[in-house]
Amino acid sequence: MINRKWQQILAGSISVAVLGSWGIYWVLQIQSVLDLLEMAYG
Amino acid sequence: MELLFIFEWLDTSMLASRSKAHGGVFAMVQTVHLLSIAMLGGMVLLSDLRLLNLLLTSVPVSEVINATQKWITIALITVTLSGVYQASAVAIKLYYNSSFWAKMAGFAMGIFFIYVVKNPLLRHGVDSLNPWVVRLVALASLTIWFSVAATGRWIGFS
Repeated sequence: MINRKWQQILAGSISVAVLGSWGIYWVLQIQSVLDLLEMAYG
Repeated sequence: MELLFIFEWLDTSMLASRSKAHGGVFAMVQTVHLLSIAMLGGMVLLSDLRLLNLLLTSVPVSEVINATQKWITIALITVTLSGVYQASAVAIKLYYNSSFWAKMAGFAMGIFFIYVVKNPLLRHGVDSLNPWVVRLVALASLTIWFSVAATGRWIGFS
């Protein structure tokens, strides 16, 4: 069993990676919708 | 890696001929699949919202975690078995569906997260852990399972 400190570093890093990639995905999605709106009305 | 041969095998298997021929059985299995999803989602919500101190705050965290872990495992087994049965009826169609692969990737990530990240971490006892790590883990877990649910639903639209 990995000790507590390393287990926390591992869990924290993976969680940040998951939340970060999810956040980037939504930023890109919103950006593409804004681009479409700009093309349509801008 | 080319996985089409697995789907071709599944499409011509005895499971597929049964699932295609017996609509009633398919409907029953689908009901079990949906109930298992509900149980999995409910247990994940209970566990993660308790870790975020948003739910059942009068019950010790360890008690909630221990109670939900067993049901999460049961739900994962049931959802997988009923999912394979259902997939056998539309195996080739699913192979070419990008939402299906997004769901499978999320599902694999969810299983990895529960058994390699979350459960081993919580075994140390929540009180001895950095509260920010616990919150991050709970948020990441909710995010993963939300994505699995959303992509799973999206299969129906694509």
